[in-house]
Amino acid sequence: MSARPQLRGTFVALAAGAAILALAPLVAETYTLSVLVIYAILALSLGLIWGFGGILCFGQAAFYGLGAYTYAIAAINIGESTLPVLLGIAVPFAFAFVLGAVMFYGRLSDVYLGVVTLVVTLIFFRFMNATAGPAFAIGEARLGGFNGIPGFPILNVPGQPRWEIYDGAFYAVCAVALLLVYGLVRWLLASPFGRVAVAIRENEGRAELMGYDARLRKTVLFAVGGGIAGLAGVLYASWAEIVTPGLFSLAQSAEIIVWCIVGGLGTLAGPIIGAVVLGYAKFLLGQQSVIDNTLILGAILVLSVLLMPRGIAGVLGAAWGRAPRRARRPRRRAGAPRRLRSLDRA
Amino acid sequence: MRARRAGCGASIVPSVLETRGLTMTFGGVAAVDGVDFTLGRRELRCLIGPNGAGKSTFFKCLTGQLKPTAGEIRIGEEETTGWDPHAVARLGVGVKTQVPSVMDGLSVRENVWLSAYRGRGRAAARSATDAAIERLALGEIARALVGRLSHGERQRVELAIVVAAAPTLILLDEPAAGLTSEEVGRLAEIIVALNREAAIVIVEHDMQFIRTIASVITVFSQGRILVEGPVEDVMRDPRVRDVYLGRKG
Amino acid sequence: MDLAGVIAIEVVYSVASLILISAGLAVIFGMMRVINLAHGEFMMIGGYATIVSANAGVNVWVAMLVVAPLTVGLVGLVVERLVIRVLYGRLVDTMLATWGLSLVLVGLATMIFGNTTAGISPPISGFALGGYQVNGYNLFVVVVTVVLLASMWAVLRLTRLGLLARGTMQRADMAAALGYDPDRVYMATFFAGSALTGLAGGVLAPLVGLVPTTGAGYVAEAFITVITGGASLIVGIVSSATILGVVSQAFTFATRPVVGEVALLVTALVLLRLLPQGITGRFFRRAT
Repeated sequence: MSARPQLRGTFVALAAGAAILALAPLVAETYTLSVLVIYAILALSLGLIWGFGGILCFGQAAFYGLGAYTYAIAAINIGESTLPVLLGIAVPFAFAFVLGAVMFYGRLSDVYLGVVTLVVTLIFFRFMNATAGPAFAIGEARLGGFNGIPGFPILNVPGQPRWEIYDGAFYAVCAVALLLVYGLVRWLLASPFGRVAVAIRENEGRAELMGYDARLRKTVLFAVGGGIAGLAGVLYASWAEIVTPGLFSLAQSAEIIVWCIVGGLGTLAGPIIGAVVLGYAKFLLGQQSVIDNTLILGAILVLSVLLMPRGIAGVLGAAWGRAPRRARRPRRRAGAPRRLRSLDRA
Repeated sequence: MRARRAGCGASIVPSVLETRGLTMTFGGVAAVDGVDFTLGRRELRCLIGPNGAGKSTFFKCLTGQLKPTAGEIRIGEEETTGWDPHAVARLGVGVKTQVPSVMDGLSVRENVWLSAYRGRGRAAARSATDAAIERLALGEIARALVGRLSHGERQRVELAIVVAAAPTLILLDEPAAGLTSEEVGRLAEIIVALNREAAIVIVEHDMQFIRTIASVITVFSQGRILVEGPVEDVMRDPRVRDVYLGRKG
Repeated sequence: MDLAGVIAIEVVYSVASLILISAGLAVIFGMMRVINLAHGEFMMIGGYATIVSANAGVNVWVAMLVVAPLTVGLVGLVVERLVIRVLYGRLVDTMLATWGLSLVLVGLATMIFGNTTAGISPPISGFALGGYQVNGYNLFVVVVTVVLLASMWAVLRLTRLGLLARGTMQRADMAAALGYDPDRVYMATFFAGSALTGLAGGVLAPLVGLVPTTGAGYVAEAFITVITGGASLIVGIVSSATILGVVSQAFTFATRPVVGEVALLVTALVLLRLLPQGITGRFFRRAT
């Protein structure tokens, strides 16, 4: 219950993470590592709302894409990257807040939540694909339809538009962003807000009988997840130097879900591990053409749902004998894991 | 209402809970049909009645889990008709549901803490948590996951959740269901003790249990209040016997 | 006047095609509470089955009305045995697994057929209505849909099998209570739903340039139509397909097709917000 061991755990995890991130450039190129770190942030965003809030979002890609497009559009219009970065976080946050409010105040259940988030993602995807031509422009930025928006200013040192951040420096920015997001999420989950969020996941009816407004709290959590996904989108845009409607695709959403499932829900390390391992595997697979990439991603998803419902983190935890075996098996809600104590191990 | 004092020497006893013409229909069938119910401060009232009499529906209307079709509910000085459960709970209403509603994936202590924390600071929450765990004798299993406990223990955890919030009105739906006789005895003691601080409504089947705790009971039948009065009088009432033995048309 | 006729045909066609692509998903969801996110890929397989067999010399009508449903039905059987059965009762896990399956099928199709467009020409030619050219094959799609709905209604209402199916839709344990092996009922249901999906894929194959990723376009629309429709199988999909089809066509005519698609999705969102149980969740209680 006391906050101290939690705090120490967080520092240990952050220090270990920082060490790994600092040493990683010895074994791989920072260009590749950057995108893996971005994936890890994206995975954390869903890992937070799904693993701890029990909210299964089939459209996390919507916030990711929204962050990336917001950044690209704002960067073209403004030139300097500081405000675009903030907008790239704020816009998806606000959008997720509104969408979440509509869904949670409407008391939509799991399946309908899935439908709505999926549909919203599709709307973005189709709309962005259809925005070719000069009619679709926001300020100076043309949306560009299927081809997306290329050639916007990438990240720069705040206030110094000429000092662009790329390669090693960009990797450092991504690494710091990941550590910050991780620390933020740990702090959030250890705070009363996070504990109530988990309580709502466990038993929404009881949380309400205790006097907690589950709808409001789920909406806020969902918005935080949206903001984090937006940050990942911003970084991705600056990494790829182009944003395309593919960011909003269902395959993108599926990938995020796969990272979380394969890595292990209900932990924070799980989604990060899942994103990095699968992201790197995808990078390696991209260099061969014998087996289709999508096929492998799909097969991994099917197999992990069937064989490894608690993911890599769950398997590792069990192997170390630290995961207490459950005597009872209550019904699963929204595929969410039921152990909260995993929070200590994340 | 938490801060409200009973007017000293006032002629009318202020009620904690009151319903007027409360009605809940499901597809044309009235499960609760125009119920007028009043509960005084510090009163302990049992609701009894055969299955399908509408007790649980009535109960769920009070907690906000169901929105009544007609009529009104007043808790303390607030008219709470149609309120959401969390808003009702914030008036100082503690609810124990029929099937223990607890957070299976959390420890006993976390369950109780969540209830104690609502509307208080961290420090106050900690002491309220300790007190509730002590009171329900949950100290030994405070760190266990609730999902792994026995039915009786889960019932106690839920009671601890109710107690930790320091409610002024407590609604208990079949608290004795599935308990051993020893556990029922302890439950009766706890309820009597709680009644010193809060008004209590209990939906219950176990007559033996009711006799040990309640002085006044309300009998539901077919969505209405059939009889209301002291236990002994009600038990002698022929209409009540008819209802229970199914002789009534 | 001619324009009105053309528009009417277009609207009816768009409603009919929504019904056609949702029917298989609705059967599986209604009976088993399973949402098959590989639904679009099942249609894609139906399309390829039609095109491949037609190109191999099979009569085109046989290819779309017999080969496609059978092929996809068999695929469905395999999937039910290997994946769905294991996850039965875990709605979200089933959605995730079938989503994975859809990616597998897209990948397989890409490896087999490549990323090029495949197609056959419609076996019915168009005709002129006044100054406008009308696609005759669209009318065939409407006829198929009407026949399909009529036979679904007949099976559900008039046969013992239909009675059993309606019972199961109301209460999942009904089949067992009546002495039927639920395992077999689910297997048969999944086969039937898959076959219907294959039929839809086959019938629509001449109208689309088929690529391995075609399914993604279908699944969203089918998914939305079924969920928006709510609990009643036939009334549900007919009413939601009508609303969604009319709205999307109205916007398509007024502006451009992509706006029609977006309008369809937005309408579905609004409907779900207003009627969280689907259209028929509130107004109809019967399971047909």
